[in-house]
Amino acid sequence: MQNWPISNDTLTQDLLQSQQRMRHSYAQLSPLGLHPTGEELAAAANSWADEALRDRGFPAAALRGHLAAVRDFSNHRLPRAVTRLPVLYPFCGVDLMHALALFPHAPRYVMLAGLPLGDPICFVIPECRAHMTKMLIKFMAHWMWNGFAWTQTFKMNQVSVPATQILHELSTRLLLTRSRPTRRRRSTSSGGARATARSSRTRRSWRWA
Amino acid sequence: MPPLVLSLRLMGHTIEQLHLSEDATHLHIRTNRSGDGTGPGASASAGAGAAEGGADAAPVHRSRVDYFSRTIALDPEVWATQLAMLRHTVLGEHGHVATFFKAAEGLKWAITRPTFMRWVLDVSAAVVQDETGLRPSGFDGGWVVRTFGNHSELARSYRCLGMDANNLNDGLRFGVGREEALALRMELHDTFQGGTRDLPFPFGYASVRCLGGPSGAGPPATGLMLTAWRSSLLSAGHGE
Repeated sequence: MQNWPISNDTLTQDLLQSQQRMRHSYAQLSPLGLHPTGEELAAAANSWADEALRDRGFPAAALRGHLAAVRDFSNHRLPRAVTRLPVLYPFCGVDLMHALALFPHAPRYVMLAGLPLGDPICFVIPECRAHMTKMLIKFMAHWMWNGFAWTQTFKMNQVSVPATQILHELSTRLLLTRSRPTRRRRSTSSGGARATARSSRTRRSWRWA
Repeated sequence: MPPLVLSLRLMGHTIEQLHLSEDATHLHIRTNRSGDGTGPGASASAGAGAAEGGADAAPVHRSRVDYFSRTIALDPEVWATQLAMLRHTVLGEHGHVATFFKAAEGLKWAITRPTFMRWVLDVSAAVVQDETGLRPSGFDGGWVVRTFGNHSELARSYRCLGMDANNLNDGLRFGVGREEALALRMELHDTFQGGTRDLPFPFGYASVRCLGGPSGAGPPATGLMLTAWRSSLLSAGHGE
């Protein structure tokens, strides 16, 4: 949806500013040679989610019970033809989970919300991954408190873009030390790949999986 | 973004491709999943390999997520343009969609505007929503409508959450007067009379803490849900 017309209200302007910060953080990291592909970001996202799901603070049992009830409802109360339709979820916040549970056979989920999206490059940066997990666990505690039924907007904002500051600090630190990638190694052994960027002054590892 | 990725993984999806547009407004995710995603082992088996489970012969289900980081305009003309763009995006390759609304209290007055309601009903073959979705009266005889939950129970939940369900002035900035707000409230009350069974899980602004949690001593947690689908959807041979 290119050229989406925008209005001048506060929410829209705040969102635009957040999106501009995202673009800025991308631009800052670009000189470091960090350009993961869509597949590499996907692998890193999968591995981050698996780690987060194993975190001791993750409310797995409560969520399992809730999702089982939602899926059971979908199975028995919604015709199969409905659960196979593409899903449009306007004003969705960060709640993809209920759309997935109620419409498990949908070929596509189109979501629309006035929330910033965060930066997928976080999935390959260890500091970002750790921070995302920490913020996610806090968010899940809040969500569980509300029975996984609803969330507050400011909580969704916190978990949507948890690591912008970390990205900024990291890129600034690395740029200040004049780091440049001089070597990049990838292994594609079972389960994914890993890359190492070595510069004249620092050594950084990025995790694709 | 983290909750989106986590939800996909939790529900048994393996993310194959993840791309954020340059202007940071559109996230596109492609996934695959073994099995039908509805069995007891399809999700919530937290940990590595959750998405890889399933029988060898299980079919692979591929799906996409398109998340647009956008706000809607209050100006009706701008909004109309946005809806036209959204329609093109949503229906570009599909006949109709299932539209889902949940916990959109801040936007319920926008959602219940006639222009938006007509738009949603036009692009949808099914709608699943709580009380913040379309006006129930918008579904005519061509729709099969079912309701879950009791409006009076929800009013208790709203009070507990500090939300004023009786505020008839909060729609004014959308051009919704007190009379229309009152009419909507009465419509919800009449629609959700508790004649149908309660939901088996908290939904929308149902408050577990106020209404008694699943393991609590009070009555079971509930919310309001309306499900609707075009009767022609099933008669077209899709089956129920």
